[in-house]
Amino acid sequence: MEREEFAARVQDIREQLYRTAYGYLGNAHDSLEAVDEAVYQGFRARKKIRQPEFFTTWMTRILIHVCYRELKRRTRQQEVPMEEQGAEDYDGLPLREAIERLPEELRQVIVLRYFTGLTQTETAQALEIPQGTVVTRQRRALALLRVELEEDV
Amino acid sequence: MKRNEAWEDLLTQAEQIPEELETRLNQTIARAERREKRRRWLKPLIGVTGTAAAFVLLVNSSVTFALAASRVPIVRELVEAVAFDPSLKAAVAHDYVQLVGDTYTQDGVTVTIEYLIADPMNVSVFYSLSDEQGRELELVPDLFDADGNSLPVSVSFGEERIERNESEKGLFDTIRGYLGLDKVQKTLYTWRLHASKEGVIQTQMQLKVEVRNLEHWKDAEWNAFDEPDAQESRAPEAMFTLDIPLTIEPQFLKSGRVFPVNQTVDVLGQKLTIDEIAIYPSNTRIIWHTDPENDAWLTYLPFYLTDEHGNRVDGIQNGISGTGKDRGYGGGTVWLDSAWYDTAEHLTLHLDDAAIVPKDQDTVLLQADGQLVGLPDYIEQLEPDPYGDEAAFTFRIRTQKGTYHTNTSSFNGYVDADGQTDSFDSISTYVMSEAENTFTNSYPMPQGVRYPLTLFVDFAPGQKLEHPIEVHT
Repeated sequence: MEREEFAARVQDIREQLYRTAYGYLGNAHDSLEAVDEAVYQGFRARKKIRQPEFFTTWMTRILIHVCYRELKRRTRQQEVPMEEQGAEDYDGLPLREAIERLPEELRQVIVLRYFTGLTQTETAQALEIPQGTVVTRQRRALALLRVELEEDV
Repeated sequence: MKRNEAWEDLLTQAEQIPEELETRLNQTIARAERREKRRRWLKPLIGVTGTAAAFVLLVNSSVTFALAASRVPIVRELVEAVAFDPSLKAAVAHDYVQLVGDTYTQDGVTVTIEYLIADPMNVSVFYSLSDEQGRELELVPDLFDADGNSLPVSVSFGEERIERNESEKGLFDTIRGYLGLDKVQKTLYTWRLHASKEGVIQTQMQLKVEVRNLEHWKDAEWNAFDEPDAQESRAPEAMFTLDIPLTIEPQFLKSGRVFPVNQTVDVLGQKLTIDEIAIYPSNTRIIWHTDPENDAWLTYLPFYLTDEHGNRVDGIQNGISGTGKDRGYGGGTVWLDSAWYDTAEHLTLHLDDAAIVPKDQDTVLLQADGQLVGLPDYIEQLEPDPYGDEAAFTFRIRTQKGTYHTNTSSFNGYVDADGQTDSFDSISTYVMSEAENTFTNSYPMPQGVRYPLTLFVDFAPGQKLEHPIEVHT
């Protein structure tokens, strides 16, 4: 992919990328940094894109990697993995932190669905998982977060 | 606050997109591009190690001179390929093109040398490339004379996708890019070979082109996302080397004109001598040197030319912008776009601003703890902004509106406590803030050296000259 095309496509989806990063990292500074880093990595790997129609998915995946690494760095000191904990353990946490402590597979779904703004079908495509799995993970994540939303597709 | 309210608040916050996002991403892409270009620049320095291979000459081995590009329909693709290079664009518009059409095939890879634009100091080779296996390839040339002696040239690379019908190409296709893939006729690639002196470019030369497979190399880069601790990349795999004879029609090597100048001017208290202005179809070169008695290094010389009709020729935006420098070389060459096709009678060389680094303030110390000692007042050290897991030191440089430097290195190199010299090269990051007239650099802390390091200051804010300089040819 040529430079100009990459730049135009990135600018087209910059707000979506930012919201995705915000869903992961929860503050403007880190979200900017993450989008910045993802775009940098994306540019360097742009000739790797085989299916340009999936550019958004491709960039989002890079961004998720970047955000995940940042979260991992933040929680490196944490001794008990939250994956092993129950919903009651999330109750005392501020929502922002609770999202941060979600198991990655649940957090991905939550971020892509509600921050990135993807449909369940698009989320399934982006994560290469069945749509039913998206539904299950979404329900589980919202339950852990104690957020009650109406069912949608 | 109830959970659902907190949820809504969080989503609302995520919608507050910082205004700087757009600008910042453009800067990031520019930074990544600079790094990429630098990486590409380094490639020609890598020795060609592949085995020289026999090639199959398929068609049209005779060299033909295109008398009129407009009368040769296929040249339309060349017009597109040079659209963003004012010098080569003018050359093509003036039919200054050598048609070639020689094809070489090996192991399913076919290279066709389509056109040359040559002058006594430069050769631009336009070629097309195809591979039966559809591999992602990279072709890196070295230039030799007819006797096999290596010729000193620097190489820059380019590629331009040529579509079937210009009228169908619109903004939509540009943005949607690959949706227009079926319209692509072919991609025209370019090697631009630049000599440092006349005599290097000859009528009979030989290109040895290393053909590299980038597939595994790209995979390695991609895998770095999944394995951040793994080595990021390894060298691309060299498949074979193509030997390609390069024959330049003699008339192209007579097309330069050198104007001796030999004028010494005062620039911010320093003596600067303009030796000559050399004008070629591919570019214009301003050759200069400084007085060793000067008490400061001249680090920024943004020359430009004008003619009596008000036409202006500026520095080259894409590609090599100059060679040499004051410190270490005592002079160098600034490259401008070509003034070869300017029909005016008089050209005037201008210098409106410049930058100097005093010789007694041209180094700073970098200590093992990352502290910089002896910084000039326009450089401020910041908290480190590491790239990945690498330790780094970070600083912000104040510049001056209107004399904004780009593609510059703040510290060009260093010498360690044992006297070993090296450069920071490609891993520095660079963030500009045009609003604040600053740019911020991060450099990795060099490993395997003995601290403290002495860094060479290569940047100073540009200053408008009280008396702008004009040199008439």
